Amino acid sequence: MNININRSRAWWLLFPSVLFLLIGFIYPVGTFLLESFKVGSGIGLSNYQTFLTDELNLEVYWRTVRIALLVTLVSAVVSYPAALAIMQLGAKYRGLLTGLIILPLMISPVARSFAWLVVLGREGLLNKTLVGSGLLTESIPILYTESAVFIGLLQLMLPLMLLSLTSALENLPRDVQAAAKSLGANGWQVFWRVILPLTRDGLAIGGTLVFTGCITAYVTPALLGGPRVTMLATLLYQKASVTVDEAATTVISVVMLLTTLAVNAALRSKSSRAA
Amino acid sequence: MKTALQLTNLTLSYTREQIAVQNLNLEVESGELLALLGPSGCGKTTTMKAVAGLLEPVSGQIRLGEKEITRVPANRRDIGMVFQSYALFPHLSVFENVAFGLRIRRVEQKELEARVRQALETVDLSSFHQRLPAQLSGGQQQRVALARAFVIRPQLMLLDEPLSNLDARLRLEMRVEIRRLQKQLGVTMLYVTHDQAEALALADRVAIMNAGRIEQLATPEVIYNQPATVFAARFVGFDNILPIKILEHRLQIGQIEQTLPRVLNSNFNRAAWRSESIELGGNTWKGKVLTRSFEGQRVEYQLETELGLIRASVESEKAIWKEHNTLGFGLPLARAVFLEE
Amino acid sequence: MKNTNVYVLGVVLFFLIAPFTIVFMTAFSDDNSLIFPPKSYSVRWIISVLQTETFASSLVTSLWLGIGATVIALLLGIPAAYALQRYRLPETEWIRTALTSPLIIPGLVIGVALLRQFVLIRDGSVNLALLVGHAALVLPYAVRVVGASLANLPRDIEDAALSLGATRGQVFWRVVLPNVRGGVAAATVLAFINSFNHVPVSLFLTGPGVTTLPIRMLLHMESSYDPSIAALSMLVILFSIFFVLITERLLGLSRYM
Repeated sequence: MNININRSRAWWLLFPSVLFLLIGFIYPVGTFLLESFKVGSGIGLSNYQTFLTDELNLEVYWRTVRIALLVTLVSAVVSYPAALAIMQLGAKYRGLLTGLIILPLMISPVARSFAWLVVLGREGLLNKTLVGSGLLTESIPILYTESAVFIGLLQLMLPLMLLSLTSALENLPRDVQAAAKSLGANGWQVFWRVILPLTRDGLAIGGTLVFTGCITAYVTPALLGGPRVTMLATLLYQKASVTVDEAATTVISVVMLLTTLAVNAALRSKSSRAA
Repeated sequence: MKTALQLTNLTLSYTREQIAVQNLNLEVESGELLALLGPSGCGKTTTMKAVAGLLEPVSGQIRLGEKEITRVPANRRDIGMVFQSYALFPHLSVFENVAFGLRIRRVEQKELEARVRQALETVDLSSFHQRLPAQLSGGQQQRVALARAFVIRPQLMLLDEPLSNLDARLRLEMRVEIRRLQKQLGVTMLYVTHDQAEALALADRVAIMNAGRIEQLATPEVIYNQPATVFAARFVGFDNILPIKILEHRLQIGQIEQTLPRVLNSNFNRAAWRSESIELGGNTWKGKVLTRSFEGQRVEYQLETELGLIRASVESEKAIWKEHNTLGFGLPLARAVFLEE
Repeated sequence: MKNTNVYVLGVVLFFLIAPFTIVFMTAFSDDNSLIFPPKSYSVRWIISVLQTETFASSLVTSLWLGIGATVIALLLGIPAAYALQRYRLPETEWIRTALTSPLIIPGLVIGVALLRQFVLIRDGSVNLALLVGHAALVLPYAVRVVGASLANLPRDIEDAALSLGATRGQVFWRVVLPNVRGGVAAATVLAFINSFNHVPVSLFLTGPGVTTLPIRMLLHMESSYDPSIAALSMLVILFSIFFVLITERLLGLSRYM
C-alpha cells in the first residue's frame, strides 16, 4: 500500500481515541496545569515562589521523594534474589509464582492498606508480637509514621519491580550465566558483571513504575501516614478540598508530574534503550 | 500461447526515496511456471506483492488475462498466494483454512465441502482436515497453504519462497510436488526464489533479477549454459570470471594470446568458466593450490594464479595435487561463456 | 547463594500475601471493634455489610463505572492498537505516547483537573467526568495489551485473507479478532479491575448520590473502626481473585502482564 493510503487508514482508526483523549484528558489536564503560572491576570512564577518558600511544603516534598527512592531501592535489592529464585525453580512453578505476584496488583489498595492498619496499630499484631516475645517492653508507635507508609508502599509496589526483573531475566540469552561461571566468575561476579548489566532495562522499567507509583499513591499515605506524615498526594488533596487553595493545588500537580517525569527520564537514560 | 500476466513498465517503491523495482516488463504465459530468481533485496518479492495487490505501483501497468488490474484491490484480483511463512489462520482447522476463500465467495455448502475435500486429497492431507495448523509439520502446513490458494481456482498463483522454511530433504520432495500440482491443475504460477537449483528444476522459464531489473529471461537450459550477463553467470555458478580482450581473431587473457575458433563480438570483455570446466594439469598457466576440499565425487581446489583466484573441480580419482603444490591449468575456450560488463 | 535466593523469595511472597489472611480472619470477627486476632468468630459483620444500603449502592456504581470505562477503552483502544501496530508512520510514536500518558499522570491530578475544567468552570456533569476520567485511565491497558497481542499476529496472515478475497472488514472480524481474543480478554480484565479498585481519580468526582465502593470504604474507615471494613475488603478481594482466576484459567492472563 502506498504511504498516503496507509496514513489515511491509520488516521481513521486513531481518530476516535485521539479525539477522546484530547477532549477528556489532555485539554483539561493541560489547561489545569497551565493555571499554575497564572498570577492575577498575567503570568508568572509567584505561585511557585509562594509554595516553595513554605518550609512545610518543602518538608512534604523531600519526605515524598525520600520514601519513594527508598521503596524503589529496597524493592530492587529484594527483587533480584527473588526473581533469580523464580528462574531457578523452573518452568513448573513459574505460572503459580507469577500468579501469586500478580494477585496483589489486582486487589484494591484500600483493602491492602487496611490489612496494615491491623498489623501496624498500637494494639496491632506487630506490637503485640514484639512485646509478647520480650523484644520490647512496651508498644511503640508504628502506624502514622514514615515507616508505616514505607511498608505499605513497599507491599503495594514490590510486585511491579519483581515482574519487570523476572521478565528481564527470562529474556537473558540462555547459558550466559553458565558461560560466565565456566570462565571462572564466582556468584557475585556473575551478578555484577553479567546479570546486572544485562537486566538494567528491566531494572529501569521496574524502577520507573515503582517510583511513579510511590509519588502518585494516595490511599496508602492517607490511611497509614495519617495527618502527621503528609505526602505530596495527601497534601494535594488537602489543598484541593479542605483549604481550597487553587494556586497550591495546581503547583503541587505540576511538581508531582515534573518529579515523576524527571525520574523516568533519568532511569531511561541509564538503560541501553528506551523501552 | 495466451498471456496470463503482463507487467508493463512497472516501477515499485516502499518509500518515496527508494525505488525497489524500475521499469519492469514481464509476460507470463498461460499454464507456465515462471520463476523470479535473485538474491534478497533484488525486488522479486516486491514485484510479487504488486501483482497480488499488496503494494500499489508508482507507475506502470499490470494485466491479468484480458483485464487491467493495476488499481484493483487485493481482494478482487482472483490471485492465489502462497507465503513464505505459509500464513495459515492459526484459529481455523485445516478444513476451514482451505474453505476460507470459498466461504468469502459464498460458495454453497455442498459444493464447498466437495471442493475442499478434493483439494485436501490433491495435497494428500484428507485425514488431517480437523487439525489446527500448529499441529502440523512444516511440510504439511505448506501443502495446506497450497490447497488454500488453488481451491479458489485462481487465474494465477503466486508462490513466495515457499520452500525456504523446510529442511533440505523435504524441500526436494515439495519441489516435485509443486511441479506435479501445477501440471495437474494447469494453473499459471509465478514463483519467487533465491535458490537457483530450485528455480532451474521447477520452472518453464526463469527470470534472473538484480537490483530491481530483469537481467535475463530464458529457459532453465539457456540460463544454465548461456548466462547473458556477468551477474547471471555468477548467480548460476560460473565461479571464474576473467577480464579478456578480443582483437579480431585473437583473444587475450592476462599476457597470453590465443586464436579464436570463431569470430566473436569485440564488445565482449569477460569470459566465464564453471569450476568443473577448468583443465588441471595443462601447462598454459601456472597456479599454486591454496585449499583443497574433498566433496565426495569431486575435489574442489582454490588456486592462486597470475590471473587471480581460480576455482577448479575435478573427479576425486584425478585429484592428485595437495595443498601448496604448484600445477599448470588450462582455460578451454570451447567451454567458456563470453560476456560484456 | 541459590538457597538464599529461594529464602528471599519466600519472605517476599509472605510479605505480599500474608496481610490478606489477616483481613480474612478479621472479617469473621464477632467483636464490636477491630482487634486482632479476634476474640471470637462469626459471620455477622459479613451479613451486616451485605445488608448495608450504602455499600450496595456503591457497589452498583463501581460495577457500572467499571463496565462503562472498559467498554469505552476497548472501543477506542482496539482500533488504535491496530493502527499503531500495522501502520508505522512518523507520527505514530507520538500518538502511542499520548494514548498511554494517563499511566504517568497522577490520578489525583486527572481527577481535580476534570472537576475544575469540566464541572466547576463548564458546569458539566460530575458523573460524566467520572466516567471520562476512568475511561482515560484504563485506555492505556487496552492499547498496550491488545497491541502486544497484535504484535504476535504476522501481517502475512492478513495479506493471505485479503488475497483470498476478504474485505478489510472481513479480515478484521474473521481473522484478526479471533486471533487476539486472548489479548482483548486480558485487556478487559485489567481495565475493569483497575477501574473498579481505583481511588485517586474518583476522589474529587464523587459526591452524595454517586460514590464508588473504594471511596465508600475509605470514608467508612475514617469514621469508624469496626470489622465491617474487613468483611467488605474480603468480599472485594474474593471478587478480584475470582475474576482473575476465571480469566487466567480460560486465557492465561499472566502472559499479557
